[in-house]
Amino acid sequence: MATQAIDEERMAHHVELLRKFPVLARFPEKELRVLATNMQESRYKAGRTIVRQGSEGATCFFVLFGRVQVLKELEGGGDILLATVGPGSVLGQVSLLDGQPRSATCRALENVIVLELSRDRYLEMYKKRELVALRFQHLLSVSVFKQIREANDRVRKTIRLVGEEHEAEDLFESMKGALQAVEEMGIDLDDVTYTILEGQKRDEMRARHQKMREEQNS
Amino acid sequence: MADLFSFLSGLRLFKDFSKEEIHTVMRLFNRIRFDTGEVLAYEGKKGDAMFLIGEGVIKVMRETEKGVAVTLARLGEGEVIGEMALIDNGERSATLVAETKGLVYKLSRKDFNGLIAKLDPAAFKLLWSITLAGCERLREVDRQVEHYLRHPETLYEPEIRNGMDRSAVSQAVHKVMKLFRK
Repeated sequence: MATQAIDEERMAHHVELLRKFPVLARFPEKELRVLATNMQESRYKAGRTIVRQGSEGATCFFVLFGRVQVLKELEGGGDILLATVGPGSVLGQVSLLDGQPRSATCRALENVIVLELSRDRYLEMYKKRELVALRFQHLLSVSVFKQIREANDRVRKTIRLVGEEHEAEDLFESMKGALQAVEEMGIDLDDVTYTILEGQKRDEMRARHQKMREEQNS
Repeated sequence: MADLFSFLSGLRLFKDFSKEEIHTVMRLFNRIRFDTGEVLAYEGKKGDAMFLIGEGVIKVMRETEKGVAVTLARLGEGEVIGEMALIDNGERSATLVAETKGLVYKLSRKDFNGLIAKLDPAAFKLLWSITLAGCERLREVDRQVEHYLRHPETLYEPEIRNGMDRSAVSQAVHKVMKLFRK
């Protein structure tokens, strides 16, 4: 009986914490309770890895306290810091949905407390057609498509910048637009880069650079 | 209508759908015939529907800043276009032009949202498969970004081949890498 009271109290506390998440702001109390019942609280000491890039495991993390670094680990060593996130953030959404390995590493920058939602639990809620699962899925969907747009935007900026560096403006103007839409459609960028750089245009570009260098040298 | 049923049943988007659920979504699709050269969606305009190509070929085009239209892809029977429009309110990333005559099945966001509001089992499944398609695409974009992070110099391959100065390359690479950090 006593444990039940403690569980009840803990869940009420979790509901209060979940309510503070911007993504969950519009969820009714009842649905937050269903979500909270399916979650588990975990703690990570500063410096500990919460998820490792490339590893299996499809739990989604709701950060309650502490900051977390999101890192891209590069082959042959070295990390790139993609983001530092804090309370109110949700991590690991894509693996929750598709069950595929993690695309980045998450490391606790400070002592961190999270609420974890496992894929099994989530699928179960979804199969039962819990309202909260439908609502959350819609949010995840919006977030996934937003991330696609953002990632495309970064690649696009890069290409624009490369274009400036190249000083072959018109060629890259045409590439830029093409690549942007190609990415949005999920076609392999490398194929397209090659197609565009293949043949006449590439020769044109080479000739232009050759000419530029000759002018500089003379 | 029987042909639409078997058409939808064969698509990956409806892979896990029961017969009943296929029947439910079937009713929401509008059949639209198009002629060669017809424009089905404009780049930059808000999208409010997803299209499934039933027959014919549709060119996915984009206009560059110089006003040149580039064909990015040709899509045919069974391919899905613009599923993002069912979820977010974003702009179309390309213009769709009919290369041949044919037909598309159109599902509007309004009807999709109606299905969701009814909490129909088919809505749960469709939302799931659209999100998964998004995940797949996100991972693909992510791999592209990762490729650049690992080999930023590949952005400058033509220049390196053309004898661009090494220090100029590394300077340029440094500038580009800053963009990948949020």
